[in-house]
Amino acid sequence: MSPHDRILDRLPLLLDNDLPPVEMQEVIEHLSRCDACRTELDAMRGVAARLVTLRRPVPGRSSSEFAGRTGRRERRNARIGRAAAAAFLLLAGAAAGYLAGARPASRPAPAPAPPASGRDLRIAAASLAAATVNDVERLISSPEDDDRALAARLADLLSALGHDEIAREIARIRDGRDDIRQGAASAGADLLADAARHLVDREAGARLLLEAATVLADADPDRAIDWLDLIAADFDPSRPLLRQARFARARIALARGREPEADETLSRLAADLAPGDPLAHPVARRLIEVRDRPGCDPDLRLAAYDMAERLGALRPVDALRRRILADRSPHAAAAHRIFDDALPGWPDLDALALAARLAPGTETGRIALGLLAGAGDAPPAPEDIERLARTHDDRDIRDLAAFEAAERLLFERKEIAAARLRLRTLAFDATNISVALAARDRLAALGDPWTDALLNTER
Amino acid sequence: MSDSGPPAPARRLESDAAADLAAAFVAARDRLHRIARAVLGSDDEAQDAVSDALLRALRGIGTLAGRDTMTGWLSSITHRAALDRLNARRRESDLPAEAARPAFHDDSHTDTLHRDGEVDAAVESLPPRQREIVRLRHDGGLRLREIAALLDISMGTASAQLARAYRSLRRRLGASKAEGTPHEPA
Repeated sequence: MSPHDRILDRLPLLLDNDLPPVEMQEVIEHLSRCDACRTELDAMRGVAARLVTLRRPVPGRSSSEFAGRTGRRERRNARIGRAAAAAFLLLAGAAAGYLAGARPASRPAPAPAPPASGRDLRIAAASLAAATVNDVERLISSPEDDDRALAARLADLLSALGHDEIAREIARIRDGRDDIRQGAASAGADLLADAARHLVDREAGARLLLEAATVLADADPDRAIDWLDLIAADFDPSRPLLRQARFARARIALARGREPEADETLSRLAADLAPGDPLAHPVARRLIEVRDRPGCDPDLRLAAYDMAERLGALRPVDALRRRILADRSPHAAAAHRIFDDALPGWPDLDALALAARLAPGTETGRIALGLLAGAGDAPPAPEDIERLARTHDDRDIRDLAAFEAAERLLFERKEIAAARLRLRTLAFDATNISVALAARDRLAALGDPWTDALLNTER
Repeated sequence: MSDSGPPAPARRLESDAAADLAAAFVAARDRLHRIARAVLGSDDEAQDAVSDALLRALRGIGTLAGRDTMTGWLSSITHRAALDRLNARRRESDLPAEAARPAFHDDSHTDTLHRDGEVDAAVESLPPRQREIVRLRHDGGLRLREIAALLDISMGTASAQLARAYRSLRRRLGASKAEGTPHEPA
């Protein structure tokens, strides 16, 4: 590199007046005795001056410089980047709200924000409500602290607007209420769908269309389904997005009472998911929900719980119900029905007592007893059982607990003699005939001569 | 919401930070858009990139402490968001960078007062890095110091790249108009 090149490379910094003093000295000295480099400097100034034409306006700003020049710009702005525009508007509004007096006076005043018109605010509110369905809602319920913090920040930011309308939207977001969808449907969905079609980024467009369909799902499910189909057909979306669209379809089918259709979509979707997928939980939930009907084949119901487990989405109450469903012992069938009634409003003590009474010694009976003992769905502790056996108001429950205690003595602690004593009492004293019969069966299996003799004399 | 009593101190701080960010964002919006436009070449995509940047900034508010300026921080987030979009587009089309970047299209601004097709074409023909620096300098209005920080290069390198860009531009635009008198917009 020639000394001239070294100087020339520094000229832009010289023009910026940002050369360190030593280099500045060197460059100035060189220029004072080199005509060629001086000419270059002039030429650079000339080029730089011509490049002012590169400075172009930023779209979407309603400053007087650009506004109203042509109708075309207006239409264009109405089309493109709706989501981005909404974000801008919200932030602009937030800043404007603060500048209007909500902020302490000591804050440095940033450049004034463009005032948001009523229409802008409506669009912003609609987009916000739409975003709610897929984003804020998801963010608020996300297991990630960061996501929840982001949702809270968004909500804070928006509440700073001070506009009642938007504040109400935020309140709804926080309350997790469903009617945001309804409220936003008419205003937001069409705008979003329109924006989706015009986004350069097709994936973002597909996402927006999905939001639009979700917004519209309650108000106009047929059109929402058309849009969801459009995502797959026209947007060539990524797999996760395609799955979200399918899930949205299943939800719409469920809401309309088309359970077979929802079931089919959900089972295919579930089979396609990996554990930890953001959709794993919601899909598993809906699949269990759609099969949680009295008429549904128990095997199908069990399969839904198994799927939930594979997806890492099995809640304790699901695990409990699965254990009950899997209990095929003869005593259990009636108890199942009682559990089915009791569990949605869990725990209904009467129903539990009844279930326990109907199915002593079975998985269902044990679970009912555990719940009665206040041990939740975990197996009841020995002291809980003893307490129930001694102090429960209901004689039946006392018997059931005593039977459970005897079973434990027998199978867990192998204290056969002690177990026999309790079983003998139950076999003859239990008011609950199921318990008495179960105790006699057990004693017979143990080969208890005393009981045999008594039973024989009884007969 | 307002009737739920005064917010807890922690939340107050959060929303203060968010409001600061909002104010800085609004103030810097045009600059951020120009930065994104310098990378992506289109207004639509720049708008999307700025929107990405905003979400990232909201997520990153917690890490803001100790940053020198909010605007600088937002600028670099925006630049990164724009590069991510460029890379995504490149992957999508499976084409080399040059082909993936569209010629500077901009149907909405052909009516802009100072448009000069010759200058645009000349800038378009520059190597990508030089083109980006020229745009950041003359569309974005950034100083070389800021450009260097944004691109994570030394000021010397930024200056040298710009000098070379000026020389190519001068050759392309022809000596007659480029030399001497600054161009006066009509």
